[in-house]
Amino acid sequence: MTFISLLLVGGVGVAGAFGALARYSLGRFLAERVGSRFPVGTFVINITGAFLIGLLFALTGHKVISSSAQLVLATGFLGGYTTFSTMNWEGMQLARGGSTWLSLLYLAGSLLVGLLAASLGLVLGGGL
Amino acid sequence: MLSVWRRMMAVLCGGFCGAITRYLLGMLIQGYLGKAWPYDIFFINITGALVLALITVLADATFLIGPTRRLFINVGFLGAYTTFSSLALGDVLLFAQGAWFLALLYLFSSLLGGILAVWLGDWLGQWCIRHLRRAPAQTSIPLESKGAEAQSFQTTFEQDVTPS
Repeated sequence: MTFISLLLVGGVGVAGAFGALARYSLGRFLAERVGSRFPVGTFVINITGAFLIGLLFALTGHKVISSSAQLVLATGFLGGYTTFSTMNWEGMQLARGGSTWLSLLYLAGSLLVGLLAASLGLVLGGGL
Repeated sequence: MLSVWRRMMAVLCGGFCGAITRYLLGMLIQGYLGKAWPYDIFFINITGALVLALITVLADATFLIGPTRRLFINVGFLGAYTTFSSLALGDVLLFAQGAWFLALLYLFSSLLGGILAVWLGDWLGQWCIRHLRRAPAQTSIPLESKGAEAQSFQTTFEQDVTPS
């Protein structure tokens, strides 16, 4: 019991580390390609992460993957991949740069599109 | 410019610690407050946003935080500590259960809480820079040396660290 939970904690940590690295790499890649004031990188990362977590949740419900695998992949990898703190910081930077409406559009839009993406993942996985 | 290897390691190590902290803290909060509302993710996201703003302000002013530490704390630790995917899924599940009020509360408190947290962290950072930089300079530089006032903050800070 204790060994298994320790293993799971380690698994969440390692998966989170790779999730963070994936976010960093993809974020830099997108920032170089799509150089705009709008934080495209974090937006794409958060939306894809929300879609995948919905899919994972639905697949776990159908016993396609185990709950331990869900923990490592969702709580670990996707938790490390997506981010809330950077999103809010970027939103404030937009507002500070004078684009108050773009800032609100980014934050509220991320949340709304994120909800849609997670729902889409759930539906595709047969969870809703 | 940091080497690719150093940057990767900073993000990986930070992400490892951040994900584990979120997982354990989340279980602890759920143990106390239950699972009726996602208190754990809400608390984690708000605190993470506050600390990110604080650290970024300090790092931009090159005060206490260097480039490697910034990658480790901001991109690695706080990026993995806070999460967007669980927020989205948790909210969709609340809507799916028909708990409209709780779902909307979660959505709006995350949106407004995040903005407030970043604003507060930014303010705290500015406060730290003003007070921690100037206060030691006023007390540690003796009045006799007028030229000492022209010294950079870097040196005044170092002087203050060494016990006199």
